[in-house]
Amino acid sequence: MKSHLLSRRTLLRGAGVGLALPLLEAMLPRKAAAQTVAPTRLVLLHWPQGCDFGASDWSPGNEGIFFPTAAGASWPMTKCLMPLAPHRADFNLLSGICYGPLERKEESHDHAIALFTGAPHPVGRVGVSQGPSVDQVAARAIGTSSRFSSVGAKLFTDDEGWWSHSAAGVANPLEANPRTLFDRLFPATGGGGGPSPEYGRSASVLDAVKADAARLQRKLGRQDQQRLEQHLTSVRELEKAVAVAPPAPPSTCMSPQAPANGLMTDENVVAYAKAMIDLLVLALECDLTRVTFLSLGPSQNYHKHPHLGVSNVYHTLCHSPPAGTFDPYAGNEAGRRADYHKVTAFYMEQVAYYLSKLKAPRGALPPLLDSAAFVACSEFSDAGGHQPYFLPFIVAGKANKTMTTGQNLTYRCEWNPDFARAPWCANAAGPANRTVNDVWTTTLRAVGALQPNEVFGDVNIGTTGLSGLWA
Amino acid sequence: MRWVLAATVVLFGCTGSIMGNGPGPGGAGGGTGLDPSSPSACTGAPIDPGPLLMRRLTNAEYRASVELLLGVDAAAEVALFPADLRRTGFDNAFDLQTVSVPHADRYHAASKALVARVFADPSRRAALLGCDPSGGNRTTCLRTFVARLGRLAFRRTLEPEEIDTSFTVTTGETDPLEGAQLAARALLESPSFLWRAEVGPALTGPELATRLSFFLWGAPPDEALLDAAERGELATPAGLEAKARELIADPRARASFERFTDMWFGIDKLATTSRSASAFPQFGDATRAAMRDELHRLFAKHLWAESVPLLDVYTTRTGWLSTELAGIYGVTASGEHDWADHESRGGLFTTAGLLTLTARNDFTSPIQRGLYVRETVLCEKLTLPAGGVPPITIMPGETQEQAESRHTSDPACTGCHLRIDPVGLGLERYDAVGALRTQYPDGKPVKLAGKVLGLDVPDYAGGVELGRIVRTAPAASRCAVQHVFRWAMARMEDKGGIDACTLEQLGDRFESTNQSFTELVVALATHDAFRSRRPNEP
Repeated sequence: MKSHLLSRRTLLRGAGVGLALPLLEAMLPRKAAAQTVAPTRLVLLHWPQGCDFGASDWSPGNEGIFFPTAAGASWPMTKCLMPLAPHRADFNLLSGICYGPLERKEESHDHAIALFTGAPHPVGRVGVSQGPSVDQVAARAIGTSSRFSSVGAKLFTDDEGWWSHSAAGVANPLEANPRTLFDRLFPATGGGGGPSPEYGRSASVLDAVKADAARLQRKLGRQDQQRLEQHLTSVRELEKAVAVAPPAPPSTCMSPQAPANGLMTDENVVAYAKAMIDLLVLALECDLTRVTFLSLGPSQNYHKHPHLGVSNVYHTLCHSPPAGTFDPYAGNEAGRRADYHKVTAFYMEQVAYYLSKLKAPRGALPPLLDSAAFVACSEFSDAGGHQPYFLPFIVAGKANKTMTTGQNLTYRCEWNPDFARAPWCANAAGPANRTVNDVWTTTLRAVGALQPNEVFGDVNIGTTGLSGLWA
Repeated sequence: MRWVLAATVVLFGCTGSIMGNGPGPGGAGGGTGLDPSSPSACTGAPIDPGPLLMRRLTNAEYRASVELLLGVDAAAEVALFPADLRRTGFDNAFDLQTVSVPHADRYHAASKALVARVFADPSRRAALLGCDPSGGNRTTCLRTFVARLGRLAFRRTLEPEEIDTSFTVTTGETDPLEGAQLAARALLESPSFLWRAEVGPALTGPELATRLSFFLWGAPPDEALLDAAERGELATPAGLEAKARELIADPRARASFERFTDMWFGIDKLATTSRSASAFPQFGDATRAAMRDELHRLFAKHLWAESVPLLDVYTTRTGWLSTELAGIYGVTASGEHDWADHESRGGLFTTAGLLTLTARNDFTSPIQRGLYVRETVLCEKLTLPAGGVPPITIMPGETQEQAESRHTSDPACTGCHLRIDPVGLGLERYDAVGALRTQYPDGKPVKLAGKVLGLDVPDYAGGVELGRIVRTAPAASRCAVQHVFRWAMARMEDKGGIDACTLEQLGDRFESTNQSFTELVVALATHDAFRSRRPNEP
């Protein structure tokens, strides 16, 4: 043990960047870059509390609030999707995706955990998932050769443990503070005059940590051995980030600017969201990671959006409070809905901003969107009724493949007969009863994280995947 | 009472169950606080301590550990750690604990920063090292340092091989002080520090000391407690009880159990609770602090004062007023205040703090307050119907109110809503910061009467009457026992199964000591369920 520690430290001291590092596309000569396939990336974006789908009577004039009434490429723009108009040729909208069998076991906000895990979970046990989430499945398959196998972030610190899960019952915390995320992505170690001794020191410390873990491991019961193994996996991931000096940044990786402090408030939500998206795009650009996740806010959302002139909390915009209690929108359901639409449009602006960053030219390199699969979605459609039907999905990016974009892809959702009457459902072109598991299975296959015969999530859902996306 | 409760559950078709109400081993004796004349099947029965995996230091425990090891406050570092996932308010549920990548990342950064902070101060550094590692003394000094700090970190005496590992870390550095820092960092990131692993078939003295210390102090055992444990002083029931009483008398116990009631009753949420600036312009940091302060004083008295029953917290006529609270309560007094025969003040359910944390930003929610009483105070678990709660959907031609009424009259929903909503309605006279009101902002009169279905009592009006109802409910007494159990054992109780006898014995002890919190805690700390463990799975 002793000699191993010393030899490793010596190696790090002497060689600085001696350990194997990923081949960065920007390090390649220009000609080679054009011929080499860029690493495939997965970019996930969640927005909270869904979208209004136009009350439940779907009468003329009450339709087309979020989901367009026509399928295919010539769908009419809708009120809530308006901010995405400049990008409409670059994405596909999925209309009619449901949780399927998963939602029958859940209620209220609890089924939201199933959005990214595709697995049922015990009712009311937030933080206890029954399987890994889609970002972590991708991280293990396509994230291993970058410095961070995935980078997860969220807006606001409330509601821990909803979206990202390493394994059943193991929540993967998301970073809510843009400054902390920045420090993690771009640590201040190093400086002038060769590699910092801190890399060698971190390596020594982590070697001792692993030695302690190895001794402890032998004394534990089976379940605890698994938990300690999970811990060790985290330590190994940390090792890549702190114990090995980073490569010279690729030329397309702009010198990072630390985000401002104090962004984590409702008043600053525009700058807050922008800071997070900028950091995640930078992490992709610098190839620090190939899998990113961002949640724009907690489900059951009590945040405000004062910059929209909406003074009530988001939750109240979707729900009326219990009968007999004070309701700021009492007798003004149209006002409630109008404010709900404003907030949905705000979230669509974030989707649009993210897309514009991923589409941006990178000199000789193709835009990130060519190599990335981008999926934005929400845990509800109409959050007022905790609707698990017609979950909105916005899918973009070529993922180093091809995809015909600009379409509204519609699927019949027959889980609830009342809702099967919705125009985009009743007249749907695609097959019936497609679930979140179908979306993720298709996405993970596209980025190379699943084989064509593998499915994501609970195996009893009847997942087949979706046709008409990546080819 | 028992039969009344059972009948209600069936009648309304809510799948909620009430502590002690389900079938359990020993039949009618399965619950706690029942007819003491019936012979208990629990006497002399062997106790199954239940499942327990390794426990990771909670963020609060990490901070307390650093305080003990290094003598510095890790508040700033811990603020960056991922939040602990909570169950029924408590942050120590072992099955939710993990060391994710962000955890490992923050632990790494924190240990570096904390150790550097100590070493930057020459006198602190000298005290921590306990010797001068320069010159020929280097090896002896650093090994002694590692052994002493390691014992506090791992909460037991280190094995020689473990001392080797930490010492080896120091050898790559020319400067012995740099080396010592690395060794300290390695200890603070080691699984043996971050996880409380118990490895033997039986608990060792230091392992039991660790359980005791984290339960009673929220902090690791100090040198004196480890010494006592290694001398075998906790091995006998009498020795363990004496040590438990000694720890409870320490100020660390007061601070730790303030966190316990904070988490049980959700008082800690008040720190980040906000209120609509237009509806409650006066609400701010001072209000939040005053609300928490009153609740802390209320609980300090009912947890620790001699011969004050814990459940009097629901009926006490004493309040503690600051300027902010006096404004909300509509009085001009300050300091300790006797509500005497005030109709709507006195007891936990009338405090501004509790009424605020059970309300929303600018409105009150009878569902939230009703759920709070059911779950937090009476420990009822309202399990949802098997098919899930149908969403409230406005059908063509329907108003929102009609849709809601259709929802609540649905047989699948009625049971639970009849159990939840009426409890909260009796508190509608208090607004979202706990001030009295007679009408809603839209001018409609507030509802005055509430009802606690399942308890054999008439309608109630206001928090004082609710306090009286709850004070005499056996479920409230059992619920206090359950919460102490959850905190100590870091898991939910299996009240109809393996924990039935433990809960019954603790409940009996609690009732027979005039609901003394101290005696309840001692009874648990010395109980077989606490001082034993299941063997490892193969």
